[in-house]
This record gives sequence, C-alpha cells and structure tokens, in this order.
Amino acid sequence: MTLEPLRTRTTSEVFRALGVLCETPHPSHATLAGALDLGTPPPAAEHTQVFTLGTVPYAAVYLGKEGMLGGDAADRVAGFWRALGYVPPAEADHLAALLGLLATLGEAEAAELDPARAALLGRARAVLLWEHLLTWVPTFARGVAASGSAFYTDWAALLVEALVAESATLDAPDALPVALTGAPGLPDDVDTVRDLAAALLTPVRSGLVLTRVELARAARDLGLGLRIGERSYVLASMLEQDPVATLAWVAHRADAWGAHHTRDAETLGPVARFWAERATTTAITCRARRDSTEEVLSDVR
Amino acid sequence: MTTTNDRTPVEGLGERVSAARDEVLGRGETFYPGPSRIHLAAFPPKERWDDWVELDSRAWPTRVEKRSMLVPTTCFNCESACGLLAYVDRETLQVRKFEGNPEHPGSRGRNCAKGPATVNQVTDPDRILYPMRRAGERGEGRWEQVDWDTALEDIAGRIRTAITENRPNAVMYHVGRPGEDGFTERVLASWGVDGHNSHTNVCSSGARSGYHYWSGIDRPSPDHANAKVIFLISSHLETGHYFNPHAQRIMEAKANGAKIIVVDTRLSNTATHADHWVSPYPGSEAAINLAIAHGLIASKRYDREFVRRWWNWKEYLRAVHPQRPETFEEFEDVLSTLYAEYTPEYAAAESGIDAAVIREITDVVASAGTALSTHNWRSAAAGNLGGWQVSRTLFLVSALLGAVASPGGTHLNAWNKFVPKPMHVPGHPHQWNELTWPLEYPLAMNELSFLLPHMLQEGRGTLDVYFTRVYNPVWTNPDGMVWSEVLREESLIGLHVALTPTWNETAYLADYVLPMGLGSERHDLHSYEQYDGQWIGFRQPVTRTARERLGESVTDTRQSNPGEVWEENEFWMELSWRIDPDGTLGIRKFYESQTDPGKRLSVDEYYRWIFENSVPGLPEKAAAEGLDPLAFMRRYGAFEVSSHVGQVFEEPVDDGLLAGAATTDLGRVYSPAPKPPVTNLAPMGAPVPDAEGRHPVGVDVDGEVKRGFPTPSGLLEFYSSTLADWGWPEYAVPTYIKSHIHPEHLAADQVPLISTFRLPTQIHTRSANAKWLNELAQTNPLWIHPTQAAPLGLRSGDLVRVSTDIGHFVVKAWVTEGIRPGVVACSHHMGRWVPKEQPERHGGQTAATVDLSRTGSTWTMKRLRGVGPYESSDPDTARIWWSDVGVHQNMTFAVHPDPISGMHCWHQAVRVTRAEPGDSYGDISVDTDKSRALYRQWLERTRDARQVSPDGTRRPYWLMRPLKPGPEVFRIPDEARE
Repeated sequence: MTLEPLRTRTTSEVFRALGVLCETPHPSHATLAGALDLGTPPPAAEHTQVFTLGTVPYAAVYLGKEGMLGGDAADRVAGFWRALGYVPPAEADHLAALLGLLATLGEAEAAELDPARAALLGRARAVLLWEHLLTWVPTFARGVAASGSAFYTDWAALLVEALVAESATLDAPDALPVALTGAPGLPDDVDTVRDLAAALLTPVRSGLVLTRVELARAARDLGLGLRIGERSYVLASMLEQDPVATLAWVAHRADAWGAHHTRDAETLGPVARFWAERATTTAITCRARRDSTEEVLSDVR
Repeated sequence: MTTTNDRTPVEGLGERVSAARDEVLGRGETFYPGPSRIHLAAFPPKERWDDWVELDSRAWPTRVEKRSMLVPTTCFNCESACGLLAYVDRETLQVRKFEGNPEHPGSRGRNCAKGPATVNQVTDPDRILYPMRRAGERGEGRWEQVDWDTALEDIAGRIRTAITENRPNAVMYHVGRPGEDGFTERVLASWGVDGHNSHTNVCSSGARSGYHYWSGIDRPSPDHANAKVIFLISSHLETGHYFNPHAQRIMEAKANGAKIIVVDTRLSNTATHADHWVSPYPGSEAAINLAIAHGLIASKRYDREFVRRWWNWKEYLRAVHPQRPETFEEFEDVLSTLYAEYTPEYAAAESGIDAAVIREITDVVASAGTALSTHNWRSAAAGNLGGWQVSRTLFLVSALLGAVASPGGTHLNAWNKFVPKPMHVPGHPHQWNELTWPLEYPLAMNELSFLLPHMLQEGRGTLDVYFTRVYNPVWTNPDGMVWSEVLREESLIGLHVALTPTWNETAYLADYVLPMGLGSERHDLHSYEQYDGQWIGFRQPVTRTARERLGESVTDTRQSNPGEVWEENEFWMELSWRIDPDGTLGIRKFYESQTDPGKRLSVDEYYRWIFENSVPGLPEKAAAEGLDPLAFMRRYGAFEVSSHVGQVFEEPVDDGLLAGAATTDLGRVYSPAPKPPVTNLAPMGAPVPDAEGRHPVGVDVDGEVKRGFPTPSGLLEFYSSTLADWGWPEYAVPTYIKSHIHPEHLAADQVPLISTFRLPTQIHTRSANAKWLNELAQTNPLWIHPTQAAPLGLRSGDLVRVSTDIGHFVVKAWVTEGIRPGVVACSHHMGRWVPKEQPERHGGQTAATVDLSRTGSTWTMKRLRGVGPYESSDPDTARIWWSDVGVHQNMTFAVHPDPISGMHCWHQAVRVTRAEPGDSYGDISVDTDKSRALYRQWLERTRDARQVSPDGTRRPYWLMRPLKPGPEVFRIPDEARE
C-alpha cells in the first residue's frame, strides 16, 4: 500500500468526526472531541445557541439567493449526491452530511484498486470540496467564531484547517465554482427597509454574516431598541430607528469581513476573492446609502 | 512521496480518531451515532439500551430524568411486522412509548402511525384483561370472569372428546392476523385436525392465485428500491401490503429518478405521488395489463432470451398447438397473435383510459427493462370476479421483460423469506375438512372461510369448538348477519372461543373471550419479503424481557403482562398439553421439553433451539457480541439471514442430486436421490414426484440443470396445465375476465361500489383501542363524483341510501373529483358497533351503540348513539370530541366467491339514492334469505372436482395449502361421489 491511500483514510476520519460534532449533542461526542483535541463538548444549550440560533450549518443559507434553508442551492447539492449515485439524505446540504460524504468518498478512493476508478472518486472528492464546501464553510466558520463559544470556535478553526489542507492535495479549479458563478449581489434598488435588511443578511449577496448576537450587541452599542423577531426584522427595525448609524455599523462589519476574505485568497484563490468583492461592495453601498440618508435628514432638519 | 514522519497535524488527528473508533467498536459499542444522525432522527445507541435517559417533557422547565430499558419487539397491527423499540420504565416496568427499531432490516427504524400507537392499546382502559365466560344466552351481553384453568380444562376436554370420537373436523381455528409463521398450523397438525381457516379469501387469495400459477410461489417481492419503473395496482404508499417497508423503498427509488405508475380508480395518497396515475373503470385492470403486454410483444421490446429460457412455451405449444413445430420462433409467432385483440383501443373501451395514455405507460414500462418492479395484492385482485387475472397479467408484463428476481425487478417471496425449522414438526393430518375446502372449489388458493356460515346452515357439518383468533368475521366478512345467525346457534357451533385483545362484534357472540397479548406482550417469529434479502423478526413480551434483564426469572408471560393477558404460544402449548394429559393421543410429545423430559416445553427452550440450530449465521453473529443466539434476538429483535439473494432459479443443481436423474422431453429433471434436508420452511408449491417416485430437483435449460421454479414444469408457467386439466382450459394462459360489475352486468341505475380501500391509520378491528388513531380517522363517507352528485342534488354531508343486492346502508356523501365518474367508493375500517345489550364500556372509543333487531330473515340496525366523552382511568377518554364512527357497509354485501381462486369479489353493484324519509345515518337493513340465494347463485359458477378432477383427487397436490393433509386424503372418497 502506498502512503497516499493511508493519508486519505485518516483524514477522512477527521472529516466524519468534525461533521458529527455539529449534529445534535450526543454522549458519544465526548469521545470524538477528545480524539480531536477539542476538549469537552459544551452543554446542548450552547449547541443550540451556535447552530440553531446563530450560524446554521446548511450550504443553502450561505449560497442561496434568499439566504435561507432549501431552494435552488439545496437542490443543487442534492443533485450532486444523485450524480454520484447516492440517495440524497433528508438534509443533503447539512454540513455533517457533506463532511460524511467527503469521508465516504475518501475511504472509497483509498480502497479502490482500479486506478481509473480511484481517479474518478478523487475527482468527485475535489468537486465536493471546492464546489460544495470551500465555497461557504470558511464564511460559516467565521460566523461561528463570532458566536462566543470557545469549543465551537476551536472546532470551526480545525474544520477550516482540515479543509484547506485537503484542498492542497486536490486540483484547484481554474474558474469560480458554479455555486458562486452568477450568484446575485446586493440589489441596486430596494423598495423597503425589510428588503434591504434581507439582502444584507444573505451571505452570498453581502459577503458577510451578521448573527443574532452581533445584532443585539450593535443595537446596544448604538443605543437602539432591540426588537424581538427574526434577524431581518431586527435589522430592519434598527435601520428604521437610526439608518445612518446602522448603515455605518454594517459598513464597518463589511470592512472587517472583506479583510478576512482577502487574507484567505492566498489559499482559496478565486473563492476568497469573490467573497471579498461582495463584502467590499456591501461596505461601499452602505456608506453611499448612509451618506444619501444623512443628506436627506440634514435637509429635513 | 510522503512518509509517516511527514504527516500533517490533520493526519495525526485522523490516526487518533481511527484508534478511538477501533477501541469503541471493539467493545461492541457505537462510535458514530446513527443511522440518521441529524436533529430529531437520532436513535439511542444500542449499548445504552439497558439504561437510556431522557428528560420528562411534562416536567419542563424542571429537569426530571426518565430512565428506560429499550426492548425490541415486532408490531402486531398490520402484516408488515415492522420493528418496534419499547421504552420500558426502569422503575415501574411499564411501557412508556414505542419507537422504531433501527436494527430491523425490513423497517429500518421507521414506523407508520400504527406502530407507536401500540402504547394506546397497551394502556387502553377498556381492554380485556381477564378470561371471560358468558353468563347468559349467547349475545345477551352478560359476562363473568373465570380463571384460565377453568377455561383451558373446558376447551381441552371438548377438543379431546372430538378427537377421541373421531370427529376431528369439528375443531376449527379461524385466524385474522397470523402470528408466528406456521406455528398454529403445526399445533393443528399435532392434533391431527384439518381445522385451519384463514381470512385470506377475503384478503389476498385472488392475487396469490395469479402469482402462484406463474411461479409456484404465491407472493411477489418487488425490489422497489432499485427499480427504474414501479408499477402499482394498489395504494402501496399508504396502506398496501408491507406498507411502511415498501413505501420507504418506493420513495427511495423515486428520489433516484424512478417513475411510478399507479393504477387506482381513486385518487389515493399513492396516486398523488405517481408520475402516471391511471384511474380505470374497476375490473378492467387486466385488460390494461394485456394491452401493455401486447405493446411489448408487437414492438418486440420483450426479453427474448429470458422468455426462451424460462417460460414453458414448449409445453404450451404441445398442448394447444400440437400441429406446430416446437421451436421458440413458432411460439413467438403464436404470441404475436395471442394478445392481438388487446390493443390500447380495446383496453381504452374497457377501462375508459385514453389509448394514448396506455401507449405512453407501455413505453415507460418498456424503458425499465429488467428493473421494473410490479405489485398487486388486494385492490383489483380482491374486488372482481376473475381478479386473480389482474396479478397474473401483471406478472406477464414482468416476465416479458425478464424482470423476475433481477435488481429492481419483482422477486418471489419464498426466496426473500426465511422460516426456520422448529424442534418438533408434526406430520400432515390425515383428515380433509370439507367445510373449508369444499369439492366445488378444487383450485381455491385458501380456505372458503367466508362461506362457512352458509355451509353450516346448509347442514354440511357442525363445529364442537370454533376459535376466532384476532378475527372479527361478523364485522370484517361479507354477510355479517348470516355469521351472526350461525354464531347464535349452539346446535351448529357448540363452543365459540374468541381469542382477542379487544371486544368486537364477533366476540359478543362467544362463549369464552380470552385475552391475548398485543405486539409487546407475546412471542412470535416472523419473516416477510420486503426487499431482496431474508430476515427474521422476533416479537417478544417486552416487560418480561425487561424483568429478565434486571435478573428476575419469568416462566410464564402472564407474570409480566397486564392482568391475566396471555401470549398465544404458551396458550397453545398448554392447551395441547391438557388435551393429551397422558400422551396416549400422541400429541403431548410435540410439546415436551428436550432438556427436561416429562415437562412442558417453555418458550425459552422453544426459541433457543430454533436460534441455535436453524438460523444460518445467527450463532456466529451472536458470539461476536459475546451473546448466545436467544440473548442476541432478545436484545436486537431481528437478524438478517441473507441479502442480495437474486435469481435462485438460475442456480445449478448439486451434482449429488443428478446421479441417476431422469429428464423428461420438456426438461423437467427428477432425482432418485433422497431429498436434501430443508433449512428454510418458507411455503411454496410442491411439484409431485414422477411415476417412478423420483422427486423433481430442477429443470434443464440449454443443457444445464437449474433449480428453476416450484411449478410442475419447473419453469415459469405461462401456460398452466393445472388450469387446463382441472376444467378451466379457457384460462390456461393469462387473460382478461370481465368482472361481475362489468357494465354489461349492471342495470342502468347501478354503479360499482369500491369498498376495499383502507385508511393509513387504521387496521381492521385491531386498531379499535388506539386513541391516537381513532382521533385521526373516524368516518367513511361515500366518495361520489360531482357529475354524479348533481342529478341527485347531493352536496357533501347529505345522507344517501346505498342499496346492494341484499339490503342497504345509509351514509354521508362526499362529493369529490378524486373518484372516477360513475363509480362510488367507501372505505373499510369504519362502522364499528356494539349491541345495546352489551356492557356500555365495550364500545369504547370507536363503536356506536345500536339496536339490532330481526323480523324473519330481515335484520335491521338503528344507531342509538355514537361515541362520546366518558370517565375512565385514562383522562383522554373524557376528551373525545367526535361522535361519528362511520358506517358498517360490509354487512350489506352478499358472498361473491370467485369460482377459481375462491377469493371473495368485494366490489358491489349498487344503487345510490337520496336518503328516504325515516332514514338515519348508519341505518342498515339486510335480508339474509337474499344472502342465501346469492350464495347459491355464485355456487353455480363453480366446476366441481367430482366433474373436473383429472385424477380422482380433490385438488392438485402441488398447489399450496396452509395446512396440507397427507396425500391419501386428497382422493375423493366414494361416498362423496354419490
């Protein structure tokens, strides 16, 4: 046996274990976390805070034009499962399912004796990695890091490290992945504040992730009332209360996200540049809106 | 090239995870929780089944832990035998809830609503907990509690008397939902009694006939999950045979791109998932199948090699076209004309389906190749005169494509089912019971069970002891009032013993009502064809097993069941033991312990022997987990014996069997060698030996001896010499028989009534005491199309009178486009009733209280009140918000036995009118004189064995029969000829 299959098999084990750790907490997770040097998993409430109320681990949320579960983005992932001959699971674009698939393909490739078939499996693995994981996981992981959970911040960092390490062993795509090609940006014009908020909260359009915790913190820092509801409702109410300050805050966050994405370009190439461009555009757009809003307000005054 | 020293940090972590995984798996524990790992779909890992902790949702926000033992068993509500996991409270030893058993290969952890509802049945405040004996006249409604000893001694004494007085046919056991495969058949065989009476002729014997004449095996086993096209003449996604195990595989295939064709007159839930929904005039399904076959043949899109190798075309040519050369090309020439009349236009005229649609689905079917899975079980095969040709013509389509036991094709159950051999196997009884197997029906697939009351009234015999066992013929069968008449007549039925978990319309007319355990309170061993593999599922009394896990010793299931509820295996063992107290009748030996001679066999020893000696691979699998085979089955509840069984008929025959073998000129191979021991007792046809006594072992195909099929020819029998020789040559090849409700047979004001369809959340009488299920479904309106309702001025909810040949019932209309115009439909499962004389609580949550009266031969039922809230130990009974329970339509149906299959043809020709003045919802009126006249009319359609038997026997010996007597009693006795 060459060492390459051995390497693929052991890294596959890491991906499967990382995937399981974002599923519903379970006693067996302690063993997995220990093996990955992540310490003791936190209580289930923290898992809910991070993955249900914060950064939900579904590709569609980060790649879909609505920034929500399901839709075309989820269908595209399910289609990939079918193309490989698998029955898509109920939640085909869940991170755990995708990491499990990455592990399964890696193990199958390692066990395959026919070089041609092994090459095909390797190709499938590369597509999965570049098209359906690296297009959104680094952004998702940065959102997790903002959640304040030490355990899941470490988990997310290890996840990105492992994926980037894996990408170094597989051919990088020459062009932007299909999942990002043609992804709509921020709309040029929006009718309502709710529409603007929804667009800003759609990662693939805005290039950033604004979690519920961040919104709450911003409302406090800006001295705004925090309205209880879904994130777009919260952000919209902030924009209604003080559009200038809120747009300035979003622009500031977009600057930070743009800087993060730009740093990733060294390893992730066009994918990171796509995200950086989106964040930068958001910063510019928000500042322009802030300025125009400020003008209007000063005229009124 | 990298070396191990160059490993990255991620690789290092991977090695650690691998090592941890190996260590955990090495302990037989679960490393990754599964198989469904996301969100609420998770299953508790198996190593924690002894002590599973959950938070009590009712105690929220306080965190109160509930500790349970998880004990597997098998659902008893429908025939699918899905795996359940009982959550048994560690402190109270009561069952908290049931969920799916992820270790079950058939159901794979999933259940329909009926499985978890088992907990309702267990905790039903009105369930029967003690043996009851009638204290007044039969049906009077007065009951007294008795002890088991009294009941057993009485029943055993009567059976002993019948046996010793050489009247064994006076003992009969009539079963609804069977328990363990073959168990009660063996009990009856040990008594020397031909008294097995199944419900099958009101259920599936029509479809069975069609499959059996083709293959020698009476059930299909479609490999839905791997099919490219799924062709259903049924509603398999909601209620069909093996509903849950099949539905999940059908949906898998659909997700993989398979096309689904559903033939169903109703817009069923299944039809809503179809790519092609075909709503034909009922009874025309075989014509559609033949039009598809015609299309495949005419365009030569059939699998020539498969047909050439595996059809008995040579026998057909020799019998029907003796002047033609016996070449395959000649056969193809004949085949090309044989179905020429069944054009899409012909099928369109019969079915009302556009010819273009039939052509379109023919193309879809053809596109499947060998990955076409087809299924028909009840539905049209159970509704129509000649319904058995529906499954037979459907299998013709599969056989044309070579989609037989292929991946994604239709397999056969005997190869996808495993029935292990028990410690004792009694021989054939040397009796023939003409009450169940009358000479008029030599080809009936199963007992003529639903004719029993008519035959008793005709004076064909009497019964000393009649068991109804988890069966309610007064309500389920046609002609319920004839049943009622007979069950009241002690001169016809001396003792009626109802073995049942619940009160029901038949139990009210019993002498003893004996409480039988539910799915979590009894032992049974099951195996069903649900994919291309073989598994066994173990039903067990879960509180007994839980107590044993805690170190208690339980020797009788009554010690752990509620009240004095018993399981059947121990009941039959004990009853048999008492029938033959000194062993002189030769019965006792079949129930004697091997490890403790002189003592009665225990269920532990019974199953231990089976699991250690008769299930290949189980001892090894158990040993790998440090368990003995019985402990393994008690722990996991199921075991997969094999998977990917494939085309057994293509397997070569062992050389050892071929020494001295003789081959006929049609290729059948007979061996003089002793029969090899049988490891799998799954029932199938039994082709007879040749004139020299050599037994059939295979069939010569292209110079190789293959195992073939268990048919007389060893091949797939396109041509049935059995049908030809036994008086029905016109049906010797698959064809179309016009139904008794064909438009040609209806008066201008009559329409067909479809009464067979089922509700996904109910199951005959058995779901009666499941409150969750009752809350989901309480009524059965008459489906009627707007174009039919308009002339009658009907709107949904209006009362209509539906008149059959023997009476009428009054029901509410439901005006819907979900039914074909010109056809009406009313669901099964509804219309339960309790006579006002019975104790009030016997009606429970589901039965209306009725006044049942009789004037001459006319019976009238008036509803006094529906259900309503009442106080009980379960606070939920005070919350019953519904009063409707539906209408009992079956009582107004006369018997319609198919003259060949024996299947009751359920569809009715009815007149639908507005309710008349004085009609009330739920009214029923029946004239049993008319019932008897119709019974005699249908009897005239038969061809009696005394006239058609080619060899002086009652029935072809090779045909399946649930309890098969010795060959000597197959001969028609001289006195019967007179």
